[in-house]
Amino acid sequence: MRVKLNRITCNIELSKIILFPAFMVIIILNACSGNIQKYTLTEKDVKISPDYSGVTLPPNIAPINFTINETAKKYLVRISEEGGEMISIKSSTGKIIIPLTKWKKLLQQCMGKDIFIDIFVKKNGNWVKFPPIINHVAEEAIDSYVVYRLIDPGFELWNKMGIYQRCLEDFNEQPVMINSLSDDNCMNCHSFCQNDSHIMMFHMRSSYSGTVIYREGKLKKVDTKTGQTISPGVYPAWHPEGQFIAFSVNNIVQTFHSIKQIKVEVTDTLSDLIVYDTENNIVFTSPAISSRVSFETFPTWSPDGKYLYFCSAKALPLSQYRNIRYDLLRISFDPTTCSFGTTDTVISASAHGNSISFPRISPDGKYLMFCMSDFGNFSIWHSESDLFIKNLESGEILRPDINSEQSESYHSWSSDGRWIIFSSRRIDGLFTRLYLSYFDNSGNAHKPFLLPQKNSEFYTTFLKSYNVPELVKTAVDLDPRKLLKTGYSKPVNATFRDILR
Amino acid sequence: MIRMHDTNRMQMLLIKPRYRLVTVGAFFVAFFLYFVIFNRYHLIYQEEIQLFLFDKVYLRDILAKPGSLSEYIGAFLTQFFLFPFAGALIVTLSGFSLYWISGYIFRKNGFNGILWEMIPVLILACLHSYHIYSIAYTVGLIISLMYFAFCLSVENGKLRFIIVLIGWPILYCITGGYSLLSALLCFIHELFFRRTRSGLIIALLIPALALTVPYLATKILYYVKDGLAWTYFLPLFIGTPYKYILILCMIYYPLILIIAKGWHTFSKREVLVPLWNWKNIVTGLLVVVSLSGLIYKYFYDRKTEVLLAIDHYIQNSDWEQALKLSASSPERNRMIMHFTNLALYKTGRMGDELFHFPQSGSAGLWLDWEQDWIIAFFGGEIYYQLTYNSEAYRWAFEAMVAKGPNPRSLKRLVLTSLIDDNTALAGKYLKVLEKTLFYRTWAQPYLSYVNHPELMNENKEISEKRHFRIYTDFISSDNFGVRLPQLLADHPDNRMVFEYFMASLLLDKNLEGFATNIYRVKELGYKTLPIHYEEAIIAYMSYAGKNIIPEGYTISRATRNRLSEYAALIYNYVNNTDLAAREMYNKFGKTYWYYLKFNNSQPR
Repeated sequence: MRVKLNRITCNIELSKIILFPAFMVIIILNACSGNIQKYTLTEKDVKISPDYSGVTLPPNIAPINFTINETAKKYLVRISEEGGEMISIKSSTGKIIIPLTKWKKLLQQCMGKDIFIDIFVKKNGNWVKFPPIINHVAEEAIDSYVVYRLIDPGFELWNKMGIYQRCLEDFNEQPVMINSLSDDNCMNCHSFCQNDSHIMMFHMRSSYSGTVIYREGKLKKVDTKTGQTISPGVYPAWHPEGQFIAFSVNNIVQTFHSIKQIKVEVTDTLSDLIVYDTENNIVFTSPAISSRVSFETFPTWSPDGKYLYFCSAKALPLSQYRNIRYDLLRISFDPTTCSFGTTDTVISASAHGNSISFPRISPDGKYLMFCMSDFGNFSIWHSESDLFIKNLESGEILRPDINSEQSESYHSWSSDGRWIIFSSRRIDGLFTRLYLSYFDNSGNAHKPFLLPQKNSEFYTTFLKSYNVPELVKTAVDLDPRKLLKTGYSKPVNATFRDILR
Repeated sequence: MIRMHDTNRMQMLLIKPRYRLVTVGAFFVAFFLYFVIFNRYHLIYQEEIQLFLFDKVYLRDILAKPGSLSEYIGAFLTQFFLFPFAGALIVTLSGFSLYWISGYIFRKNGFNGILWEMIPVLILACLHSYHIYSIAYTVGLIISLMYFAFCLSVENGKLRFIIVLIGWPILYCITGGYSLLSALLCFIHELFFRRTRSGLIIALLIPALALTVPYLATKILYYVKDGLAWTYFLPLFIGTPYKYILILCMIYYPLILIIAKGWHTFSKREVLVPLWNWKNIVTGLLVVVSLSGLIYKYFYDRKTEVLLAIDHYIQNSDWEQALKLSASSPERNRMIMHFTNLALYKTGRMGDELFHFPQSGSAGLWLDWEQDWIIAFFGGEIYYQLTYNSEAYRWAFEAMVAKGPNPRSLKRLVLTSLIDDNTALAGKYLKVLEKTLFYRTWAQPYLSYVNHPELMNENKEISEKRHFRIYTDFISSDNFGVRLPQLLADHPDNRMVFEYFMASLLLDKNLEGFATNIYRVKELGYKTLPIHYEEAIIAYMSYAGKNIIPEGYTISRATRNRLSEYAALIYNYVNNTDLAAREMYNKFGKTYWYYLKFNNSQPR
């Protein structure tokens, strides 16, 4: 009898401790809850995809449409600011499409505040409510457009590719240039001067090869290959004043691996830096950035234009590709005389068995973001590649909590430095997707979120990769038709000038 | 030929419905049989190089080009080519639609006779004999002719004007360059047959539309390369002589209309009607039979059909059938050779019968990498079978990229990703296949592995491949070929790699390499030495003077007897190699000794 009593007492305790809080049934007769008069609260977090929980959103971002990963007959989502206006969305499939106008209005009201996403699902005839998803709306808007290239994340062959601009405030995507108009050629490395969509360049390859430069409303096509340089310009960086573009010039080799952990390695066998003067059609360099004993690549300018940052590694033969590790260097530059000063090392990664690629400095000049992997420079094929941030004032290097087990690679800053966009292969290890992250005044990168799409399951079957995301303040006023004439034209040959003479 | 008002006589002499039915029925039965028997693997191949998806993005991408709806319908229909009977039926039905519309158009323009309606169908048979001519183009042609037929049926000039003004631009969007055919036909019809005021206005409107609409569409609606606006979606890329046949098809209809008009003008008769008499029947029959013969001789591509058939049997692991076809193949190219050798291994006959089939060095064991989707599409199979998984994945991916998503590449990407434990990636490809009509069933069991990878252990194929996964990293680059020594170093128990390695050594006449590796037969548990290995051992021992017979093995009596005969015979032709090659071929052409001594050929 005593044992039995103990058991009963024990069961009651168990209910109090575990079951009661977990499945606290609340009957609410509440006019505000719309159709749902009665629901059960659960403490279990709801899973939604993409993961838009606990993130900081720009006040001008497109609706973060998502899918509720719960099996249920009906779904209801309410999005609101605390005690404020509410957006209600019903669904029978779990796919939630947020109305654009209401979403925009809500975000404007919630700038600097949190928004709450309440999710209800109907299972076995009863409504269940999950704990709310709370997101923060930043006060700072993100640049309205992102320009990227859509490519097959493949090996050697390609088919359709193009450079596209996507309005971040809605879902509108327009081509800037597509290769179906230029004999399916390769096109790459679009770049802007300080997030300005009116100063732009990209390369066309194969039959229409040349660098298309758009500046001061004029288009021109240039062949930056000269007799003194390795190749035409490859990885670009606009000087903040808009007159110069620094390029790497490379001889690039692709190799394919036999093991499952790594598929492709892209290695430079030659690599220098050059600077192209867009006004005078001149290419120049300096021995300090075009040495035969080292590979120099991935140029980027300091926001004041006084320093050229770049990655540099000891030149090794292809057979030693695993030992090619890049440090981060910088060299002073005087734009008035086009002269370079001395070089100094910013980060000596190779000493620690690491390799740096894609350095990018925040517009305020305080932070430097870069990729770090075990070796080489083509970080997208290195699953260990992560993003790092160096505080240029304190010298501190941090690995922000925005990385994954898969490759994080190309990234860019918004014009005000409050947002970063970066490419990541975290979903499936191959198809690169774009993630946005708020970068606060204290130098912290917040939890990143996937670039929203109208169809929340868009990425599931989309077989292209997003490549080279660049944030720009306004729409690029170019399209394939406007670019055709320049694209088809014969490029103007740049002239090499020896600045040492 | 008769006058229209001579009705009694005409009734007597015109074809009776039941005769027409029999004639047309027999014609289309023959048409169907031509595709279901002779072009069976062409049809299957067309299905394999496309992927119709029930997906908005897929639809959006197709709608972004002129000819959109035709392409969409064509892609939808092509997925049924997975079943050759259905494929042949669809092509036959499209042929019948063409026949029916052509008949309607010709009759409306005072031109009658089933022969003229059958000729476009014969043209269609030519075009569909080309392995990459898609049904989408036939759909475009039929829709374009349907539009013209619709215009013919409208008598009201104002209504026709509206149909042309609004309808033709829509037709351009639906059929691309095929709309020009209907524009030309409308123009001829309005100008020469209607001869009314409204007809003249429409005749003036049509060239204006045909000139401006494609131009404006590519300036406003579509991104199409300059100069291609008018011909977009016309398959002008197809090789000769098919391209000329396509052009013939495009000029046939206007030509018939012009002939009809000329006949009416000069003969003063309203209708051109060939009579149903023996003379015309025999003539018509002769024309159809002759044209059919010409199609079979000049347009039917047997070589490609055999290649595609072998590929089909390889894909379905029907190795015996692949070998049977290979033996009867008139072609001796590298593609067929490498499939044949794969089938030989799979039937356990590589070591015994490798030289029963044409060989040309180790190049016949695989295809060298080229930046070409055909190579990527066909050549990846060998890597998968050898469990060179990274290359199998790469070739499948390259094929998918270059040709666009297709079921074969996607299925291979699923399997290679699962073998590599990359379930998330496999899941992605499976989700794409889930959006198809016929591959979603294939995808289902593999989808369960995405969330429960442990279930993969129950899959024999995947388990075996996972066992042979490579763990030593080495680099593959262009034309490195299959890295057999490295694969074997990682997995000496991979029997297929061993046999391919030995075959490559034999084919390259590398007897030193063969002698170095013959010891592996014992490790791999061979009960007896394969015949060609015995022959190679004897060949090596005869010049090196070293015994390389692995311990526990002997050379069979049959091989020793054959050697005696071979040695005796070759002694007779010491000074005349060519004669020896000819005379000894019948008896020793299937031995390694013969290959070693006489074969110097290179594959194509």
